[in-house]
Amino acid sequence: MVTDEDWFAQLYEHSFRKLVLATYAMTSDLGEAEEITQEAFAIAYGRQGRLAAADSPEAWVRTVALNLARRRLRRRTMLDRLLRPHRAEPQPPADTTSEHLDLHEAIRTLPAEQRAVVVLHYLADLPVDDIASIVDCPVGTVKSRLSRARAALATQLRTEVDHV
Amino acid sequence: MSDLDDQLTGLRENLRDSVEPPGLRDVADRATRRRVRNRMMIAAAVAVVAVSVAVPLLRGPLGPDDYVPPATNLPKYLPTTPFISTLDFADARHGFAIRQTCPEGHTDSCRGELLATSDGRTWREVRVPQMGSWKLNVNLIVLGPSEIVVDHPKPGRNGSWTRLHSTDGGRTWREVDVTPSALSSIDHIPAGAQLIPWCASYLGTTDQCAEAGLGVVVPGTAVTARLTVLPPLKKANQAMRANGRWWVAGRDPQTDRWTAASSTDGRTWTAGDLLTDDDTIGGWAFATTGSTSYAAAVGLQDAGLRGLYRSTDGGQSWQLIERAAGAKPTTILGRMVATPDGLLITSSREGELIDTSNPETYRSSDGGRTFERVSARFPGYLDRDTTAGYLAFDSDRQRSAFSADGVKWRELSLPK
Repeated sequence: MVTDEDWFAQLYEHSFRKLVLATYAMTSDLGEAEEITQEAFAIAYGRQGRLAAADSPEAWVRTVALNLARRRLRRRTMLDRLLRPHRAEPQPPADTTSEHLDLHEAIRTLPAEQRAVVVLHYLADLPVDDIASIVDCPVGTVKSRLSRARAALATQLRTEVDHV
Repeated sequence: MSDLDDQLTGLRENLRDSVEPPGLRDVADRATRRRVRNRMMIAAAVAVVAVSVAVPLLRGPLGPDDYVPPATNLPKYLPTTPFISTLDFADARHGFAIRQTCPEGHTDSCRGELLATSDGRTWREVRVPQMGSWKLNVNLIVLGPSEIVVDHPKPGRNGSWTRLHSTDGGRTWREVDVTPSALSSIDHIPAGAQLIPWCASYLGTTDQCAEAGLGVVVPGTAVTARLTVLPPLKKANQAMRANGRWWVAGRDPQTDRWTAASSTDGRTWTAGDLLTDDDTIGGWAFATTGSTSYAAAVGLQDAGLRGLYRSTDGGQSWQLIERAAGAKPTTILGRMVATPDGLLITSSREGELIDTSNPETYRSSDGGRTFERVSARFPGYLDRDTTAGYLAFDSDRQRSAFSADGVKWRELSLPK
């Protein structure tokens, strides 16, 4: 028999890393993404009844995590009361290999809308339908952004190799 | 599979391996703490409401191309108990508040209502036309003890706002035209007026954001007029009142360095020295007492105290105050208060993401060179300067205080 605790533990074990990477697309900071994902699971823990009734519990927690990420960024900005578009610089974890550092850097230089779909699709492993819902644009737009992003990444990585 | 796919897969595995989930027990403990800290959600909701109204151009983390109107980005989960989202006082006795009730803990279920007090202690509900359709994004502008403006989106009409104006404490209301064609211009800031960014969604002027500028909400009529005389600074679209003087900060067009300018009535502005070209600055806080003024540079992302300046000639020349590296406070929340006996700054907790809950208060008695942490004479953080004094608000614990001089504070009784 699977208890509520077991069921939640399985969801947690299966989804935590994946949701951290999805949140990473919003925060550009892996540590903050982890912290927000923990908070999202804490919320989910207190609402297990609602979570169990959801079509996709993982998507439910992901929505909470992404809302938390958006809210934190807005709270941060609120304090300044002044506006200026700003994009945080994503930092790779310290043990990232040099090959991945190049790719990480290449992803970082993508336009924001392309960077988001690349992180959500290739790093968080989300299907384009889910990404369309998250970034609030048609599936076709997600696909075209992915296509453009892949082309840009390929060009940039090739260029870097050529320069060596 | 291409090389690029291989590399993306490798990076994904690399990132996943670097993430170590905490134990489930930690999540359960956090859930328990979260229930206890449910009031924190109130602070978050208040903050987002403030952002959605006061910062209409807010850009999300994906950048300007992905901008989504703030109303659709309000937090999904809210406290189910009523909370005060917006608060303003004309003086120590006369204040107004928006109380939100979200019975299902979801933004769609929220209903706002207006409350008023004329003694700073007891509150009455104020009937406002169309109040039944209010959601979270209701804006409040207090122009006097009995004069108030309420802006709220028209139901079912995206981008259209209704402005209601009362000059008798909310007993009677009239609608004020805020369509772009009705906006006028003005060459000064009348007494009691409030300044707002000209580029504001509720003015329908978001197509004029590149021009920046300030709007004056005029007492008596509640019309919004564009202030015609402004210091020649880029990004000068926010004004702060400090001890009866208006301050604006912006970038010098030639050097791109930050500069501050001030005015008593908006007819003429006194521009000061060029201060800094620090790109991490997102805003400034100002405080004035007697002939001494202070300017604090505030970090865009972290509310860090990037620099503290002092002027003794009305803001014409500024001296950077030398502070030891890492000296507290390292962050600044809301405003500063300068009094004859010192300078007060409220700061967020160290090491936390910027958080308006549990702020710490610091006081300097030597002109800003050193600060000591003190027991706050007021709850929360210094939210704003009103026409008659200073207002502190602790949205987390739903407490507030008012001070006419920044020295003597009186806690206000907020409605439950």
